Amino acid sequence: MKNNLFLKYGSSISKVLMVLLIMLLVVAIAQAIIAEVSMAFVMRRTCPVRPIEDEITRIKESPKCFMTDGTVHQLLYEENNYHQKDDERKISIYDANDKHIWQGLRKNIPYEYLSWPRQTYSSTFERWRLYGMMTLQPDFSRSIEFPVRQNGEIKIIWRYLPEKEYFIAYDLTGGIAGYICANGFTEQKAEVEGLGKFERFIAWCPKGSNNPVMLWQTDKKVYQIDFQKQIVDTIFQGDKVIESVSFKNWQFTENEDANDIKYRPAVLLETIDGNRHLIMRQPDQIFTFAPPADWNLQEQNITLTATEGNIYLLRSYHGPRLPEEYKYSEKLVEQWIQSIRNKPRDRWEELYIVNETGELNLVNRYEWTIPSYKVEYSGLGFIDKVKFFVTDFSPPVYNILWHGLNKYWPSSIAGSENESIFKLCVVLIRELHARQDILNWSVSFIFVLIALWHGYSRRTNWPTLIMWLVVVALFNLAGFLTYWALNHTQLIKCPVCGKKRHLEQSKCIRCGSDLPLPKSKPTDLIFT
Amino acid sequence: MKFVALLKKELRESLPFIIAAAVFLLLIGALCLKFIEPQVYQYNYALFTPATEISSYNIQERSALSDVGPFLWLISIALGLAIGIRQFWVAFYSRTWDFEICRPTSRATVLTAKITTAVIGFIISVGLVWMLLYWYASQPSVWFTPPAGRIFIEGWLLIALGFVVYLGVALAGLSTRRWYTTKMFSLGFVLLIFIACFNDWRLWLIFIFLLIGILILLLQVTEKFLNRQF
Repeated sequence: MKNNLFLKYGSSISKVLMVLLIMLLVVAIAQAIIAEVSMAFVMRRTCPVRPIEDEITRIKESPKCFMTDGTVHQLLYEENNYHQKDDERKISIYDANDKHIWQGLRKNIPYEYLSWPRQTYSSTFERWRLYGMMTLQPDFSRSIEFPVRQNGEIKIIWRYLPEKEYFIAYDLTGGIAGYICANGFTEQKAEVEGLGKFERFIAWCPKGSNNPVMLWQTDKKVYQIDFQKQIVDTIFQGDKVIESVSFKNWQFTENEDANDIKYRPAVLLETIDGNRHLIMRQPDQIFTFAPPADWNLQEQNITLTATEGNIYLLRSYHGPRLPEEYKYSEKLVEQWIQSIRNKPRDRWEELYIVNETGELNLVNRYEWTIPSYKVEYSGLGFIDKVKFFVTDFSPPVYNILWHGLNKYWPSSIAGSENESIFKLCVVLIRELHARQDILNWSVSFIFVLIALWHGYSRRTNWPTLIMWLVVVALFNLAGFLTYWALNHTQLIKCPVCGKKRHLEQSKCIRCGSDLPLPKSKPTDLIFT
Repeated sequence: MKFVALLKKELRESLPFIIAAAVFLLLIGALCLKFIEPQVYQYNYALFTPATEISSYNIQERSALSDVGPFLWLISIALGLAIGIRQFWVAFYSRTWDFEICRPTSRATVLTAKITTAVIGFIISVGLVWMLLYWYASQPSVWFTPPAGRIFIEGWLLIALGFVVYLGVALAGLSTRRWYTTKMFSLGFVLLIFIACFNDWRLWLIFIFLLIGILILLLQVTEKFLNRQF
């Protein structure tokens, strides 16, 4: 008996869930198609009105470059020809007083500017890419493997095991040749300790070798791993999560002339508490800089570089960032952008030298002002109107989830590093949640009325009908389609009370009479 | 005894598909692995250039079984379709449901025999062959780096997707609705499960998706089969 009840109710719930999911997907696809097709016909009308285009471009977009003595110049590329090699591009240089002082090819610049550690996005392997490799696919997941060669022939393959967080080596016989882990190289599995939660790595071949060396960053540590020498060097270990890594001359020295500034190999780390850690070689040294409390890190960038003589710090003010709470409201974002651009904006950069005691000495400060320029929006364009219209048919549940719970969702769900079905759902809800709550609920209410009109004559009992009305109310069009798909039955007129009733129940819901029996026909006698 | 007799009957009817799946997978898998000669691995790993950064695309390596995977997946789907149609659609078109149901045995026993046949079919035909191919690819003479352990589990997950297809086809066959209404919704649900599984890297989560999908479909198949008027 209990099994029958479980089967009956379990099957009913499964059926509703299955059809509801399909209907949600169908409605979402239809909404997306309508919104995307509308974009093909109309372009969003935004008209930035900029007076004195060249001057604003030069002031705003030209990089500000410091020399070691604090002199600052503005560099402006004259053509936006990105196919040209960087050294062959024409460049104009202006001094701090906006006076044009030099023009020519970039490779002929007579000045030597400080350069700063940079992130190498094309060769940096991030965690989200590892997850992408591990995603279930018909041709199976892939693995990170590094070959080690001798005299051009592969001798060992190092493979990273993501679940175990260490490297394992296979030799030519297929046997295990060792492990690389937090404890360094070991041949005993019992001594293996995981490297830590992988964040990113960058790999390169040193000069004179075609065997890889890599900088392996976990959440709180940075290792340098040399596969050929089987050495693991922990170059940084902290108690705060590392947010970003950038490099200067660490992998190999960039092309330098005799007169160029000599930089020390350096890795710059930024941890979650805002501290910067500059890890240097020649000699080995770690400099940690904790920004003062009054430095607003939301509005400033801080970077460091180390030459053979000094450690320099560059502090730049780039203006206010979009407040976190505005992120999911297009209206607030537009208002914020307009409020920012409609008035002049001050910018500045400061160059410091770090002295032996770790204190900062200001070398120079450069300030400039970006004039205001008006950005006219045409208001709600056709695309926005279409989007507002289609999202009126979205389930109100999307809004409840989006507005009510989004502050509790971890940011990693919607980030690119987390490719999963959950991210797809979050993106779906973010794009398709209703922009007009009142209209959305109104449309939902109309569908509830239609469902009530349809289901009143077909009801088997009131709790079931009310349950369906709640589903329609919460899921709008998708809920109504689900209800209709699972509850559309034929109606007949009850011969006793004359009201509409359906065939799925033996007794009339109103008068309780049985289903009418078919009229009997005269019997054909074929044998007497 | 009755269950064993029913099981033998179902196995006999599904045997051509089970054997065909096993043979196809074995042949195609063997051909794919045959071309992975020991010397080939010398060219599968990029020769890095001194004093350059290594592109991350050069260190993502496929396993020796990566060519076998798509065939494993497609054959599992095909087997699920074939057994599902044979067990739940052919009887409808040949009007032999009465003959199948009206026996001195319960409907539950008949249904259990059908599902057990499908499970045995997947395990024996596709599952065993997959294990054999994985074992062969692990031999150093084929590829000196053995396939990662998770690939073995991924293969079984692909086989499980075939079983999900079987349940979807079964439910579609048992549905009394019109084909242009909700009869094929079970196959749409199977597609949703595919989307969920192929968008995650966590094997335990994929396993949960499969389990939930199988449970939802199995409940409906059971309820429909036990209560439907044939």
